[in-house]
Amino acid sequence: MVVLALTGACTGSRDSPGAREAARKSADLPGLQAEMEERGDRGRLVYAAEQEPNGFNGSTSRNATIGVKNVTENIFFYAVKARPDSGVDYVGLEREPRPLPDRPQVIEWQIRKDAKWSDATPITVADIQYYFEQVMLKDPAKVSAGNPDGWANDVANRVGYDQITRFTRVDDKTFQAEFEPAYGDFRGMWTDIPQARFMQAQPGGWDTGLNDTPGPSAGPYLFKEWNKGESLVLVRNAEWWGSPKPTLDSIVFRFLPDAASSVAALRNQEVDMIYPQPQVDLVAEVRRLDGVRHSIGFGPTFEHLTFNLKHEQLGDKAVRQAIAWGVDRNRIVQALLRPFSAQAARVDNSVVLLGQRGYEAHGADYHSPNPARARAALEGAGYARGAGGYYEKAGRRLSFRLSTIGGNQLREQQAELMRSQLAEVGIEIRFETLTPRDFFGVHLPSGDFDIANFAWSGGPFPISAAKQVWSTGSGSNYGGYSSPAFDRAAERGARELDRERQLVLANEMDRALWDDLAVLPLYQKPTLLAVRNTFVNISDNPTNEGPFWNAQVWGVRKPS
Amino acid sequence: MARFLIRRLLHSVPVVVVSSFLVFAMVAASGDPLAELRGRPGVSDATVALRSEQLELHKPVHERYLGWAGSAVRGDLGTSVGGEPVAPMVLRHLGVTLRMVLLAVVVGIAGALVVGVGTALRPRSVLDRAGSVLSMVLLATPVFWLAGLLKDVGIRFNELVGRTVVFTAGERSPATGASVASVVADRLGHLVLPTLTLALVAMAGWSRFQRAATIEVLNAPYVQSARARGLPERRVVGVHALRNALIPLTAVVATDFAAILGGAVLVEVVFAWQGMGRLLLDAVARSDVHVATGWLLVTASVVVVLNLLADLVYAALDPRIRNP
Repeated sequence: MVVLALTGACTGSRDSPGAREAARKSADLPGLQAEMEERGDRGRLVYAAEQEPNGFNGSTSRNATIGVKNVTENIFFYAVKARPDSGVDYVGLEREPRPLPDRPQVIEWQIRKDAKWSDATPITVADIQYYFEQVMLKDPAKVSAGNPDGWANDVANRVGYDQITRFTRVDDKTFQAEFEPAYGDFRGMWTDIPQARFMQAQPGGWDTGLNDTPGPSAGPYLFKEWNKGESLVLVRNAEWWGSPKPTLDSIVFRFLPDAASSVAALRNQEVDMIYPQPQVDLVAEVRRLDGVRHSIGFGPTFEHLTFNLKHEQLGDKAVRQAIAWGVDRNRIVQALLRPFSAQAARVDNSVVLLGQRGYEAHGADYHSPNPARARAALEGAGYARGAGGYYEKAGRRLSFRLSTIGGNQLREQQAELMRSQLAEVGIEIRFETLTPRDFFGVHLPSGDFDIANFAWSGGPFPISAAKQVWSTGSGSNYGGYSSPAFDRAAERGARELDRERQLVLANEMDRALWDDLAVLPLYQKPTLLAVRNTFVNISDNPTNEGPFWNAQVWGVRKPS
Repeated sequence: MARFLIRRLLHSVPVVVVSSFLVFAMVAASGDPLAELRGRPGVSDATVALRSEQLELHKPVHERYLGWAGSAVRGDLGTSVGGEPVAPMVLRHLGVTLRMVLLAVVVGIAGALVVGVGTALRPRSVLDRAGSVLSMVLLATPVFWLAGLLKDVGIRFNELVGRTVVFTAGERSPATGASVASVVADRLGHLVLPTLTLALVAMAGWSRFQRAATIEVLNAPYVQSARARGLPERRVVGVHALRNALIPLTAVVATDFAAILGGAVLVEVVFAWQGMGRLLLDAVARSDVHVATGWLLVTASVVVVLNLLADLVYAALDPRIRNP
């Protein structure tokens, strides 16, 4: 309960003994900083942000980006935040939300009694209820073929909220939501919530009302100014109710869309912190910088191969097995990720990821490459060696497109490795690079691919995400996977209210994926955080939170 | 003269209309602005449909263009895929680019005059040969490579002096000190490297034109006559020769302006300036038709206006133009 300890359980003055004690509990966290160091007063941190927000309502599809979340994470109300170990802390709540004893599908949340906005008004159920109403608002005038329910507002993701059949205000700080069917990931709900009163007063309302300013703050920092195309400034929120209190005067988001520019700016003392997508040469450059420390983490985004199960040959499990035995995942990790970090490892679970509580390594049969077994599987399925040493059956060679997004050095290198590894087995790979638009907009949805290499994002609530990706008929189920065992486990997991039993079911879902070999997970993508040594307590949170998860404890190093 | 300028303006209108439609159609055909949204797990079809409707993606391209053009003539360039009004967005980026480009043009012209006239006065001297070699090297150097080189030199200079004097990213520092001096120093510190990059490349070509024009004018009969009348060489060159020698350079600068804007795209990327170059790259990457077409409209207008200005300068320098 580290974040809870840092943000909720401690009281007292800035860097009080209580605060330091709480921070010491973070000693087992991965990342830059094992312990919270003492902070000096004041200071300004300039962060090189690759993405500039379009607006601040991160619940809209337009603004549901990491660039927006990094800004609003310390401004809007969060009932819950994910810890680096993918556990959760109920930072905005009095206690963990809980099902009512007699009606388990009704969950009760209690907002912290001292929680208030920076304009001194309390954070109440009205804020939550307005958010919920906007998410679920319908307008008969907006009914169309694509929008048969007539959703009125642009909402990126209604998962969970669309299962609430009744929202009840108990008192100003307490509310209950009744779910039908029961929703097991209820603990992750009510995040990134702006002040209702402010949003109601904006002419643009939900969709565009927060395009220029996020309004009052419920977090440790407060929006000050935004010079579009240049920078956005957050300042310390003196009214913040959590602790330890922030000591930095301000955090400046400097918009530098190019990673190479960010590293040069860090070297030239123009920014203090960068968080780019790591590439080998970029990491090497960061390592050479004086006065800068860096850490490589492994986030919730994992690379994988999705097989198109509607493909005549890939629909045959023996062919998928041959590919899984032919691809040397250990070699890929060794060649591509070890230059970043010695901790890099293969991932053997597509639902619960490495480093998350409940992770189990499945697919033991495929942990090591086995070309002989791959060839035997193909021959057992009626394939025979043909021209060029490639297997074929009924005159059709085992030749597959490996489609991915172009311009990514890491993907190109791993495609080349897989091409040569599978050639040894007798399977031809043709590498196909596409633009993100064509890949996500055309090829994946229409099934115009053989094997697709891209990344999915996990998180502290893995069942909902995995269910959306691999359930029968799901919109994101690009490979056309359908398994009664997976669907059953996913359905049960989605309704399961107990965290431990959820994890058991999550692993059951993954075992089904391995049994059918619908997907071959490769590795979790590395993250790179580099910070000037003059700052302390900054560390990456390799869940979806990113490095801004604990910005309230950031500070300048106290002179010794 | 006025009739000539109006005629030039009217000629540019169909060019802008046709090119704006072509850009609109090409960007619209280049991909789906909602592609990445469709790829996100949890995003419902209804959400995609709602956004699609907001962006009018269901309508045919010509219908979308006509709707956009109707608003554009009233000064409304529509909204971006991200929901931001395009007109202020484009003007904001234009201001950033013009600051860099105009200063680069001024510095480039000044450099070209000094180098061009200086080498013309001493043809085949060491200075002339050095100028020629330097010009050729700069002309052959890719802009992005020169930008990267100057960036590295700038950082090493800062490391040498122990403080950040020249900047490598953006056009100004966030929340600079309140004093005018600190603001000016900060702006200049950000301008130095990108401006120098563009100016050096422009100067390389322009100085060769200026050298050739100056040599030609210095050999003209009226200059020989001025010398024969015993006028001092400084007056012969500065008053009689230079004015006529500037005419070709004016034409070249005007025609090169669009190319300099093109070069600015690369320089903006290297130095992380949020100018027109970055705007266009992002618009194309996102298939954002309104931003891309707004970009074209404004850029074309700027080029037209600057060409007209060049005509005016040309006329001021050459009486044959204003009194044909």
